[in-house]
Amino acid sequence: MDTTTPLLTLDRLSVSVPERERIGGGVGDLTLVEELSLQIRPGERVALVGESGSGKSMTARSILRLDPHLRLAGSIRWKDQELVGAPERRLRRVRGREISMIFQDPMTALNPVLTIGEQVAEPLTVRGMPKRKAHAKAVEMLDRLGVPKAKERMRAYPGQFSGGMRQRVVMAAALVAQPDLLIADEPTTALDVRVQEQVLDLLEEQSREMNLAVLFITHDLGIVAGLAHRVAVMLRGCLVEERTVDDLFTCPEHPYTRGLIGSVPRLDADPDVRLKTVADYMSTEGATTHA
Amino acid sequence: MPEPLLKVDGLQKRFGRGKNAYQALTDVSFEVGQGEIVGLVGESGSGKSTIIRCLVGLEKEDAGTISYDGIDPVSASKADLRRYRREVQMVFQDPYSSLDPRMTVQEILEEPMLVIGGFSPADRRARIHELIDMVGLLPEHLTRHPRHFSGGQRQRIAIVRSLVVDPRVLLCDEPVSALDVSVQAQVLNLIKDMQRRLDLTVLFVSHDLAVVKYLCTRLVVLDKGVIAETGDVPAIYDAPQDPYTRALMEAVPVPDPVLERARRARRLEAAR
Repeated sequence: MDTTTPLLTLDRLSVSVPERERIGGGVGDLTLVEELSLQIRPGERVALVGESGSGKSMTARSILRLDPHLRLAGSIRWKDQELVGAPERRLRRVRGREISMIFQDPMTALNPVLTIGEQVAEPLTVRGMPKRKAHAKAVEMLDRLGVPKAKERMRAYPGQFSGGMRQRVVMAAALVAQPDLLIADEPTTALDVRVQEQVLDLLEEQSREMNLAVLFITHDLGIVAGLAHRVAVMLRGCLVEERTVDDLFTCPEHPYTRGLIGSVPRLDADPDVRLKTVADYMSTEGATTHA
Repeated sequence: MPEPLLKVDGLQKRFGRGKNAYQALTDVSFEVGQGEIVGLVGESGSGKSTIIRCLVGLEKEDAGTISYDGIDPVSASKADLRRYRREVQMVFQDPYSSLDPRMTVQEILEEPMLVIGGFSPADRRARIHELIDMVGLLPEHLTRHPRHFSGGQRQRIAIVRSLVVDPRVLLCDEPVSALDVSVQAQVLNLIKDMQRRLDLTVLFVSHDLAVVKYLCTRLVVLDKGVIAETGDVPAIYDAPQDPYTRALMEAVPVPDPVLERARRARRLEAAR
């Protein structure tokens, strides 16, 4: 058991849409995440796995309170401060400096009319670092993330980059201020397999070298196998299972987890063996799925 | 290989002109035999969707010929073209945008039969009921609109829509990549079952080599608009000849922590 003090502790965190904010009406608050507890220690890589609508992204977004209209209950403890109910200016000090976040689509995450350099250096300049110094740090970060000719490409625009290169730029902007935690929300879903592999390798490497904790949100259990230390599985707003990555893959306890692992076609599987669906796993074990 | 039903020969397609021109397809030729499921694999920009779009007439090829059961859509007679359009059907990637939100499921499923013509109301009803039963949808679903259905259900509706006119060829453009893991397997099994029951010939576009291995009998690998490799699925997966095919296969993540960590260590070692 790891005894280091956790960086982040979610304690019975609930996220809901208040009745008056519900799109299309509906009675009562709509619960998106229900009493979720999770801890992340320095340098630890935790994967939060679930399907669309499971609440994995809402959990991640709520840590930084990116959706101010949502109601949070329970506690989000970051180092020695409580983020639930904290004033906006305190969150602003955390966002991008101590905790940064990257998203699925590198095409829309970057501003098309600002240069790469301006965007990667922004987390530093916005906090008052002199331009020249911030610029140098941005070049260094792009270089670390394998962007060729980083110095020259600082003047380029996002449109001149491929999807994989843009995701590296997004990562550089997220890591340039040396945060303690990176929240990565499906960062490779829009990428080709070979580019995905490169981005995941970089993420793992940076995490090790910078002692960076990572909360990795994904629907794909396959890609977390080699990346995460721990995996938490969400189903309909609730955490159904949380284990070390080795335990989760060798002896998954919840039928839903077993379904997620077992229903994915594998390169090393016999194609004549019929693929079992998640519903098969759930129904044979007496649980139900929304699918 | 069984008798070829669908043939693509020397297909060329370029988008844009002058300096900004992009050669999407360069001399692409392959055949799909009656009853085969052929996987068309490649990364984004490899031209796999362009081929499908040329096959259904959504794009016009610059050069090369397409032929289905002896019909060349470019020079075909009106009657032959009709048969081509009826017997070659398509399933799109995203069932959230491929179904008209204002139509009921009944209307969505009837439309192809009305467009092609020759189906009496009784025929239409019978076809729809037979097929929705095969894919596990219920008669009461027919009066609802697409928004009431999950992604997997929508993709099943889209598959039924492609099958109501009794096609012989199904062109599937990444039909499971927009779906959740829990319904991917259902839709893959459904395509497999329907192919067998209806003796369909399927061209299945995918970027996912594990999905292709499960479903397909033969494989066409495309690299930047050029065919890198073709062959039977077991042979290619056992010993890929082309370095591009090999690289694609090696990049597929395996849901096994020990294997994955070892692979990453090897990669990082090699990069040093």
